[in-house]
Amino acid sequence: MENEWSRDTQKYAVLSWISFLIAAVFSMLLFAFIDPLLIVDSINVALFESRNAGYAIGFFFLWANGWIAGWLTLRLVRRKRTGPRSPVQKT
Amino acid sequence: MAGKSASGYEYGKLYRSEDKVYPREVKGRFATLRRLAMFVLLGAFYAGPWLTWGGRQAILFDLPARKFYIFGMTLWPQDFIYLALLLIILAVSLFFFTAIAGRLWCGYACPQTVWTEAFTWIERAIEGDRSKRIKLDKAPWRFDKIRKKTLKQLCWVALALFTGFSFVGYFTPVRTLASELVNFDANAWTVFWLLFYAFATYGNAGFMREQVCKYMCPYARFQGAMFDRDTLIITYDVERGEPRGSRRRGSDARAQGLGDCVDCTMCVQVCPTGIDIREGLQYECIACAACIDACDTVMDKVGSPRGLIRYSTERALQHKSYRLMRPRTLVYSGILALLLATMVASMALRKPAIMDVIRDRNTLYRDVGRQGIENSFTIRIINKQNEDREYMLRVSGLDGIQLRTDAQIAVAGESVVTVPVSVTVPHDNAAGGNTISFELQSIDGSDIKVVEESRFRGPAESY
Repeated sequence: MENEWSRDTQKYAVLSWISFLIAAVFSMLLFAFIDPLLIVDSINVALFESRNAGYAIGFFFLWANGWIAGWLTLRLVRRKRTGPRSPVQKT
Repeated sequence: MAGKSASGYEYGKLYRSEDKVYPREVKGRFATLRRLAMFVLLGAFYAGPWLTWGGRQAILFDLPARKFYIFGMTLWPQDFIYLALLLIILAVSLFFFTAIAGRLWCGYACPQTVWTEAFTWIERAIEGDRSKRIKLDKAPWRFDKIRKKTLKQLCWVALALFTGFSFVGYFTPVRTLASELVNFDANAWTVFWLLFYAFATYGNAGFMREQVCKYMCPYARFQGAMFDRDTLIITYDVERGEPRGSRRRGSDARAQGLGDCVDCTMCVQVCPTGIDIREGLQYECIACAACIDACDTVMDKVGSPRGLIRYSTERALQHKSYRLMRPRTLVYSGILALLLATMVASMALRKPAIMDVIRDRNTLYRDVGRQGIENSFTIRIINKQNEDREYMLRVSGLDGIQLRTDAQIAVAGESVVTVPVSVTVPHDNAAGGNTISFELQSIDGSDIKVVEESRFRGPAESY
């Protein structure tokens, strides 16, 4: 039980948790409108057979989606460089 | 640049280095209130799935059937707007209560706090209070430590599993679920969600605890935006307490130039997030009021008046009057009242039946000789009430339009009926696309009427 959270731990904890919450809310919104079985019907691929499986897959899909989007955002947003550049070695 | 404040902040370091927080047990008014909130909320959560209403589980979100049962009311996916409204109302209420009373939610009602409280209670019952726990963690792994730690983990896992079971019990009939679990023939997804929720409970309440509030909770970061100078906060009375310092019992603190704070650090020891409230309002503070209880106890002992740490407002600390009616609270309560009124009104006006008209997608139209042009539709009727209903279907919108299929449709209580319907229009009136309307009228005296529009397609006019 190490309670000293490094920046990275913080980053991934926040990333996972926020994408989880958003996935929960949006899978609720999505499946309130769309019956997962209709998706299976319309694409003619037997992805899953029960609604429960559809809800679960939808939820994890949204979670992964949020996670990847958040991760890329964290990677791409950069802080302003504060320290000096590492000196270029001249030969 | 050495030096460490009471809450563990080391000056001169970029990041706060954190020791594990061992919250000390606290007794007092707010602790009692918090424990009461815990019992009521956890009790409601665990008992919820077992309640019955009209022969059915009172609260059941039947996802496979896409129906929600809430105390005799049945909600269909088409009623989704109420769920959305409810969520918005809850969010605005959170704003409203935050503006008035600060982080009441965090301190008393948030599942994170409530389950952490339950998990800490188990920990305390098995491992003892703060000093014993610190000692136990430092002790080598001998029999007693292994026994205590194993017992604690077992209790935690059991509580977490029961929590997961209760959670799933809101989505699957709980009695069936219980017997299925006992006989090892529960649905794989059900078991998966049970374990998933149990794991989340264990992780959040047993393992991460206040770190969730500090680093992961979005509300904790945004609540500052709902605060103003009249918001109730937990605060240390700097004017009264400083300069802090220990003093001999019975000695005159004023003569020694000391304030009321005896610097016993009890407020820091009881804090579940490990902060020092005397450093001012901090975003880590979840307003659990443990420091108030701790400080009141100490103040009673040293014979000073209570309330060195107390619920107060920024303006009150500056000896200004408290204002309940202020733009922020008026705006929040206005929005809240409007939403509640909308919700109540729309619930009252909820249609007891729904009709969907779906055009046949495979053929646009069919020429059926003397009868004219025929279009096929699928009519789906949802009877949201418990009673069986008898309906009459009429179609209108074009001259000579006729229903070719049975107009009388029976729909059993709480069920969906799908009927293929064909409609004909004489050749002369059928050209192009025209709007027609279907009217569903109940003929069993219940006076239910639903009207839906659709398109009637015929050959293009030039043909």
